[in-house]
Amino acid sequence: MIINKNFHEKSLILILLSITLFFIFWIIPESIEDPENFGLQDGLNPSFAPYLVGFFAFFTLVFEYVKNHIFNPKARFASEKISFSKEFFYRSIKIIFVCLIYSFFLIETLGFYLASLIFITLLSFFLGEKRILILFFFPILLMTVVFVSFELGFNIFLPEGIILPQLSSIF
Amino acid sequence: MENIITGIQLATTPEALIAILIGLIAGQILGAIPGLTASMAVALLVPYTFYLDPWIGIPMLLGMFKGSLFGSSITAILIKTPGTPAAAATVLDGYPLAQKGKGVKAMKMALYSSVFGDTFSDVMLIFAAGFLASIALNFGPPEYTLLTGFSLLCISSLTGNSIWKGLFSVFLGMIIGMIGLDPITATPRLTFEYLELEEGIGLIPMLIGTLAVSEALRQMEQPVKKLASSTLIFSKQKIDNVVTFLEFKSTFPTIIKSSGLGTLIGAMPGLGSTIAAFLAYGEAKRSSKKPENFGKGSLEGIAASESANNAVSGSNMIPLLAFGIPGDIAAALIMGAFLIQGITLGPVVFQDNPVEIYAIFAALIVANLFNLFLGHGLIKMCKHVVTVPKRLLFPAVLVIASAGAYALRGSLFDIQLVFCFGVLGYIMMKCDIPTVPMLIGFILIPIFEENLRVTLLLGASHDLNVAFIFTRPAFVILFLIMTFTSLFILKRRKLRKLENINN
Repeated sequence: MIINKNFHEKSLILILLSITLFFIFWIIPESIEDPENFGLQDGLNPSFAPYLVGFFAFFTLVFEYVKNHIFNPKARFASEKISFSKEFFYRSIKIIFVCLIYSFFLIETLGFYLASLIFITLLSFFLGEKRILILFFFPILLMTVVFVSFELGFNIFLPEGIILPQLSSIF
Repeated sequence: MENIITGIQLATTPEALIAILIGLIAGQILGAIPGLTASMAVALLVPYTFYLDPWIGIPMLLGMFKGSLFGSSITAILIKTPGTPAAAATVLDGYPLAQKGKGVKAMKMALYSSVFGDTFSDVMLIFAAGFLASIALNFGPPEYTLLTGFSLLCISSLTGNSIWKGLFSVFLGMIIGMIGLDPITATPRLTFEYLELEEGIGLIPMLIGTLAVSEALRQMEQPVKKLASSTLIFSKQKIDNVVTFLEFKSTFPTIIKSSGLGTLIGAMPGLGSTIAAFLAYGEAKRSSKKPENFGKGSLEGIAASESANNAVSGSNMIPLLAFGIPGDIAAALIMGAFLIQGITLGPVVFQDNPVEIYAIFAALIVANLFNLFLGHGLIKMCKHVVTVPKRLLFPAVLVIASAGAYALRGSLFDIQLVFCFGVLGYIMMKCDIPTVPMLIGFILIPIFEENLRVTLLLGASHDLNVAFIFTRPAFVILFLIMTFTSLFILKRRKLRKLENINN
């Protein structure tokens, strides 16, 4: 799929502008409670810097939009195109999904070592590694290196997870 | 003098020397693996330095950084994949030379010019940092506000293709840096009552996520065929595998000029090694007797880009040591390692920790010498290293990144942060928004905010209000210097734009 670069830039600015406005008008008021009667003489409110940065971001985006997309809409990137590959997009979505499952769910439940063994095997297979021996031994070798350097070398104990300690207590 | 001797002794203990060696070997190998950049390699090591003695961890880190810088030029020469953007200029002549079977010659030229550029800028660092730090001791909150604000502006406007994207990236980093407790009132900010956010976002998970994980995600999206290994042919003739004395002599003036240029650029926050490498390359081509050879495998081209980009690595520690402001991501990583060890870099470090500073200087020089010898070994090894399949490498990188992030605070939340920042960095890359300004914004926001708030507080109690800052000589001088530098940068940007249009 081919996208016009001008359109891409314009959309990006508008999306970022919406996020910035959401930050200024919802996130800051909802998440920062300024102490009462606290002002310049006391060293400024805690919300001062977030508002300052938020407004700077807002004005930067508005300035860029007005300058390049309202007053001079055809001058920049008029002929430039960006190619967008659906295949790459779906592929990266899948990889990101696997990574998020690994970090948010697998490590916590199965523990670092078991989760990582499954993660490396699955991801390497997904990326095109079809040799069974490599898929079996490479994760084990890597986990052994991690175990030796972390637990034996630095005395750092990586997460055990929830399931394995429970299973070991049962048996 | 006593401090200097103690510093040298500290950096040359057998443990420190072994640490430098291990760091260099690991850095060179990691840097030589396609896709593992110098910053990425160092980011992966930073958390482990916490568990080591400071004078084992820090020399190892410095060694690793220097090693990975040279290592990253190897991928540029052999497989046209610059390990770092800075090595992109090396591709222009290194890769054509490698295709002629002279890959070893190109790598050796890169090694000699890298080590020379590195040593040149380290010597400059030794002489300049202390002097600048003594000036910085006279700085107060207004000067620091100006200096950090200017650095943020420089970094945002010079990184990436458009100023607004750089600025937005800086603002994003600043906002992420504000998550946690307010430094003055201790009120939670942007935490949504989530307890783990009250401690603030850790620097290390953010660095690992944004640098290592996002790059791994970007590389893994490639088609399956591209994730397999690559091959290259090396000539067996002796002349194609060495840099002769005559060849080195003919490139020496270029090396000196490029090292000087790289050192100068490195001392300015935000300009970075990529700009240095390309400027030096352009200058070498302009002044060369054989400009027609550039782009076709010219040794002069490799020497120019490599000496300039390595010269940045020493001098970008000048603003870090003198003002506590990291000039680029490499300096930010080193700053992170020092913070882990409880040492805050900045002008007072010369008063509070002089021995440590001289030890760093000594470690830098020793690392350069070791780099030269070990580099030869790496060149022999690299034929095998460059063929590691990416489909195995990147899953391994993700696991090591997770373990590294967990190691520092023992928090699962940090592992989750690593992947969140990885995804954020990946999206930013896809939108062509540079990630480096975000990291620098994150690091500098505490200094900037604190000094800005104190400056405004001082202004409120002054007759002239905030305009009192112009009654301070240090502020006025700094202001003038920065105005002229900004004009220079704007002019250079305009010239670059014109050049692009002409091309």
